[in-house]
Amino acid sequence: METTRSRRGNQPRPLGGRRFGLLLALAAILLVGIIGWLSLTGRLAGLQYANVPIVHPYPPAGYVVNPFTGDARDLVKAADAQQVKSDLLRDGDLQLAAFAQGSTAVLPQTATGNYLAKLNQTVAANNAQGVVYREQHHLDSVVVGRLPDPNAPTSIVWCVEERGSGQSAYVSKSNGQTLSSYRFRSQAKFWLTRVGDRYLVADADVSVTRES
Amino acid sequence: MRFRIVAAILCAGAVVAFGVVPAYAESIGNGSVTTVGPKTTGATVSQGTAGFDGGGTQAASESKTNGQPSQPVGGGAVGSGDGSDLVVRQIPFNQVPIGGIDGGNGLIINNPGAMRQACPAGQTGFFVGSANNNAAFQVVCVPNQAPAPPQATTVSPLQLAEQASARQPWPNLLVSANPGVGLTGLASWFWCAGNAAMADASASSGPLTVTVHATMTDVTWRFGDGTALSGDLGRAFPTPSDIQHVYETDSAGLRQGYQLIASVRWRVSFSVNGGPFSDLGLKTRDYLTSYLVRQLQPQAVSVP
Repeated sequence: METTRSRRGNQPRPLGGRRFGLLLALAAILLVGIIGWLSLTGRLAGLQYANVPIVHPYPPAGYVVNPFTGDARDLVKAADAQQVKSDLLRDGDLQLAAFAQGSTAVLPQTATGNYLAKLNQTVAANNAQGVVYREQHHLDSVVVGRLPDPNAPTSIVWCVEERGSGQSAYVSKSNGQTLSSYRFRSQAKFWLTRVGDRYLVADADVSVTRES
Repeated sequence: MRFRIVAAILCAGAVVAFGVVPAYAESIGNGSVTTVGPKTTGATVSQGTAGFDGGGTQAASESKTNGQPSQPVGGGAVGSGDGSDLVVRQIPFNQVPIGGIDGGNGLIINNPGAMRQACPAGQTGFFVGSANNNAAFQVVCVPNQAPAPPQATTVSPLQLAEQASARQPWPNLLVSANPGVGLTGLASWFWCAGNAAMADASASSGPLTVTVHATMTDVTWRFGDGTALSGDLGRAFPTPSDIQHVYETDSAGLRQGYQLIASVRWRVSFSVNGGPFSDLGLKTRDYLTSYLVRQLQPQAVSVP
């Protein structure tokens, strides 16, 4: 039998069985009421997305909530997102190097589809003017997630949003002098698609603000 | 005559007390009484032999704090070790009555019309007497301590210059490159961002003050692929830098890419006490960064 100690004389005394039963019943009623209320308001289903440390961590290990939707039910695999990010950074570095050289040879390793065509056109235009393009930039943020490409919403879904600033320069191919330069801030969305074992840039929405 | 004998004995006792007892001064001030006793801790006043002159007893070869007159104790009762106490008090204004001193407690008899200088210039006078014998006080003249001679310089100007040079803070320079990731066959531009000027620094010892001045002379660029170039700091983007390098191989086998080293050299000169500058030598500091270089290698890729 459960007992407690009385304050006087440290004598054991029986716990009120009736009172205990009453408390138990009240707790059960409260629990049923809460579950009923959650169910009636449609919130019961959301419990599976609740993040309860140790008991029910959410998102599960290896997944992150898609930053473009913020919907807890929309998860992306962290490893995939990391590869998309690193591939885009590598693609961007190579594209800038190609611009600096005025060569299109490396571009197919970095882009595909319409975006590749656009890059080729840009290099060709620069070459026609006898200049190459160089850029020095700093990225403030890089966000990776799933966001359908407006031009191919069903097939191209990986998107990387970059925000940053930098300085661009057009350099004469003949004498190596900088002909013009300006500072800029940029916000760009790049859509990538997997080609072989690598993600290539398939589309882009770039917004550049010139500062000087 | 009797007075002279007693005074001489007391004076000798005082000298013995000063010479033997490691005295200490608790507080020395105008008119304050300081107790000096044996075998206690505190600042030690070392004193030597005593001599006599016409004005009284002169203690010679003392040493104490710089700039202060070397005084036996500043005033107070001195334990002589034989049970009798000595009273020592600085003579106010270095003036004593021509007729002598009296008063039983070391005070001068107020006789403003007949005063004389107690001690010669450069010395400080003290009344020394026995607390048990009010009638016997003597004037003790103690030479004022001369300022300490300048210490012999043990550090050479060259050593001082090296000390000062070592204190010069290195400039914060950042090795930068364009493009951020290199490409084989493409000229990369390099430069050091920041101010390479180094602040002057000084070091002193005794009468010597040495100032050093550093001027950047040149920069040796090592590009990590076995090639090197001597030049300057380069020019920051978007100006085409005069420090350019074309990599022929990529850095695929290197975890962090090529290690780029800019060794910046400064010529250091030094001046002693504001004099003309002399050459001290060169000093060098390496500024490092890692640089990835990729291979420009057209390859077939499948296009959906």
